[in-house]
Amino acid sequence: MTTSPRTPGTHPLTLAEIVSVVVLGVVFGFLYYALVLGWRALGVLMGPFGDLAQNVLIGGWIVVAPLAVFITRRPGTGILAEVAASVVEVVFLGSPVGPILLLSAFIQGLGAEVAFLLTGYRRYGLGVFLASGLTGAALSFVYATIRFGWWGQDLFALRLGLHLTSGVVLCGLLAWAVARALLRSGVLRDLPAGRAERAERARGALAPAGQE
Amino acid sequence: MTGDAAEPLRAEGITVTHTDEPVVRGLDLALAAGDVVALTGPSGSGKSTVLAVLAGLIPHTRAGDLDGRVLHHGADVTDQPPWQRAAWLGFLAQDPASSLCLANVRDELALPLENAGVPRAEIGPRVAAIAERCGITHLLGRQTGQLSGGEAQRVALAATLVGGPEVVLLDEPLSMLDPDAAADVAALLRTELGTARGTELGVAEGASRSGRAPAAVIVEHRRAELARAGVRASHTVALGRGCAAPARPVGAPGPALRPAPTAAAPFRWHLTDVRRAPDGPVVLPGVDIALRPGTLTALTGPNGSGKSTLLLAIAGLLPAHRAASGAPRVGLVFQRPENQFVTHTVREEISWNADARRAAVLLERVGLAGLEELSPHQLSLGQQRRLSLVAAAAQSPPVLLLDEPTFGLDDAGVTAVEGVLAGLRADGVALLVATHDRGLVERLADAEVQLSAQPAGRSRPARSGVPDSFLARCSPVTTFALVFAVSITLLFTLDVTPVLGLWALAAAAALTLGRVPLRRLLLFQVPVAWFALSAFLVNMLSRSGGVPVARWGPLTITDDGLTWGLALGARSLAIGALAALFALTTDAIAFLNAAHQQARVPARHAYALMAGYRLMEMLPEEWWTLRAAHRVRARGAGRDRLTLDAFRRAAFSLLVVALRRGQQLAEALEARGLGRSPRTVWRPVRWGWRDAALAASATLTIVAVLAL
Repeated sequence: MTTSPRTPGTHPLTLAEIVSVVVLGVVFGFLYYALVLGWRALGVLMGPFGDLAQNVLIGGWIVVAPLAVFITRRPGTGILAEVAASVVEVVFLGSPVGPILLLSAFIQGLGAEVAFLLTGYRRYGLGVFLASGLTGAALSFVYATIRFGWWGQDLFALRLGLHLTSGVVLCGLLAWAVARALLRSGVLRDLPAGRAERAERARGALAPAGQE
Repeated sequence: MTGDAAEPLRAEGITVTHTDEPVVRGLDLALAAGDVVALTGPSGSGKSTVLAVLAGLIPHTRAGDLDGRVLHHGADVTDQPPWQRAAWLGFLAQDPASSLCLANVRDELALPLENAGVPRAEIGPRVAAIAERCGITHLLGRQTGQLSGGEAQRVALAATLVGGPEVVLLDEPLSMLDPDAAADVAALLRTELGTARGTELGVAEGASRSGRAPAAVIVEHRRAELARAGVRASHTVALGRGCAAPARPVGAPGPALRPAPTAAAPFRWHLTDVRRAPDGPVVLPGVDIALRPGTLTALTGPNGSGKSTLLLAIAGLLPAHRAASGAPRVGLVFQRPENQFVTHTVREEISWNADARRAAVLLERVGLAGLEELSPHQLSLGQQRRLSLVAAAAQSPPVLLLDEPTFGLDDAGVTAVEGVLAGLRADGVALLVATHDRGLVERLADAEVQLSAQPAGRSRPARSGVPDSFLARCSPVTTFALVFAVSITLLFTLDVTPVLGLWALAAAAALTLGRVPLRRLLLFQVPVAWFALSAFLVNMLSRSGGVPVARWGPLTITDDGLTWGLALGARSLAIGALAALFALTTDAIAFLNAAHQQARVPARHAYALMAGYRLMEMLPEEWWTLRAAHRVRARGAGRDRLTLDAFRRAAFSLLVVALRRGQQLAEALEARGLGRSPRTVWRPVRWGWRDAALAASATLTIVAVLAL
């Protein structure tokens, strides 16, 4: 019998997987661009605390990374999706943030992958998603602290708290919810996430009943 | 048993199992040279699955366990991936919209030859030859996104044939086409397939290895479809009812006899100057429509006569035709059902803003009872169509509009949909159905409104292209690298003067070297200006430190804040102008080509990006359709604004649609042989003197900014 021969993590990316990562990048490129415009509006509304708006929203710009890793189950795809999204923003939509966005995207994607790396790209539960939001936000905070000179400011602790919370909630929780919904829609059926879920359910079916 | 070495394709004992349920069981199929095999069977009998096995999609890209063997001239090719099979096999998927992978027709036809490593000099003549044969020479310069369904299908068919395959697999090639387009494509199939073509084309063509017509397996979506279209099949393979789809009574209609049209007063619309977009051409100068409750009115007319636009206008979805306050509530079922799903399960879908009891009754009536916990996106096209009908009908609108409700369905699907329509009519709903389906009109319509073809030249506006200019002729890789470098340089200065100078310089370069129209440049700068203004305000208001210069209530402005605000605002302006300099002067496809050839991005990644770009071009239109469909459905609850909730639903639907389309494009690319090596490049990108000149001036700019 010729079964689907692949186990996660042992093959080069298939074309369908690469295209899926690119598709995620394209869709989230649009959404990220909209979030940039929203961020500026929030910044003005927050008046004297306007500079904290980016810390409040940061998680929103990292969502695609855990999602891409979840769908493909492969290292590097989170970074790829983030960079693809930033290319859409910069090259095709002409984001006023400019090409430096590619660097930020790379760092955010890298940070978000750290959590998955720690599990050996094997676990994809809510906890790992939340951890991914946390590590993504943490690395981007280090980068931003260096770039914008946040160290030593009065608001440093508040900034850090907002930044990490945003990572956990806006990135981790949101990406997890989207991942669950995508899995239920059946659109991931032929991608590693869908294959893994079926394999899991098959194993569950063999186990004694009583799950529900 | 071993297959005959003369047979280009043979399948033995094919069994496909998906999550423990056999979809196809023990199928044998043999194809001699020049044979045309019609594959028939009811919906759910596994026709497309069989084709996926023959094409190598199962087990390579699609999930499913496969037993049995596929042989090519007696050699076992079961494990040969799709892109290797492309050497002898052509595969065409059902939906023309997702089987074209690239942005323009010429490149689309060249791609299979490039992947096959055909020498560069031969590619041009062979593209021209296949276009001539398929009658699409006039389309060679067109964008694939702007083709009609019939044109797209003929281009896709030409791309399937251009490599001279021995075998072609066609999945319901006529199902997604209107009657005129289907006739065109059928004529093409008649000349390209079957022994009739025989030898007389063999010499002239010279491309096909065998010099004769390919053997073909064609999936029929309606009974005897090929025979009616004049394509002679050498034999027919009929699949039984699949094990996966339990037989359900489908579409038990309302009363069999038409009720006499009620005496109730009709709903009337008087519409003038109907246009799709506020600045678009007028599609319908003036129309009067009257719909009586309890009747079905057919809306007919050729492609492009404005049927869909009229439905949108009546539904109040076009800006100039907002529904008046006293107007009746109008439901609209869109052509692609996946566009209008707003929830995660069938149960939520039918009860969303609707009468759940009525919905349950309707669901039973269309044979979908029992599927309540599935996601709408998991259903087959026929099931999705019925679900979208039920979901709209459950909101009990007095008027229901439907766009091509039988499009792409097989006989059973058509019967089911017609049953629902008859039932709704009996319930007293006023129905308006835009359709090409004469059968539906004859069986159900109480009245018919015919729209006439619009004068030529009304076609969709051309995509705003990139003007030919000095910058357009530079390598996009050069332009991108330089814009990147200059933008990074800006991060090292807080001086306002050189930054504003650079802003002016970039804008001037876009206007002169890039020949960007002033209007486009200004439009592009709107979000940039907003970004710059907010950067100025945020930094001015929130920078602590420095000497206060002004104070209003809780707001303090310091000289530090002022300096930073001005510097960062100016920086945003300059970076935005540089972005415009690149984005408005570079053709995206040229950029991706250059990335592949000059920046050495591997072919698979480069073409994945091009597929992504093609999707990106579709997204704004998809988004508009999704929002329109969701708005119609939300109106039952009086909600019509883009709330966060509505945004979330539309964004998720967009993601699902895009991911599905992406996977279809990936399959199409691999069917064209992407992944074979060595491959050739038909139109190479080369560096030129312009690149050197541009690099020199950019370097000078960087030095100037840093020095100042």
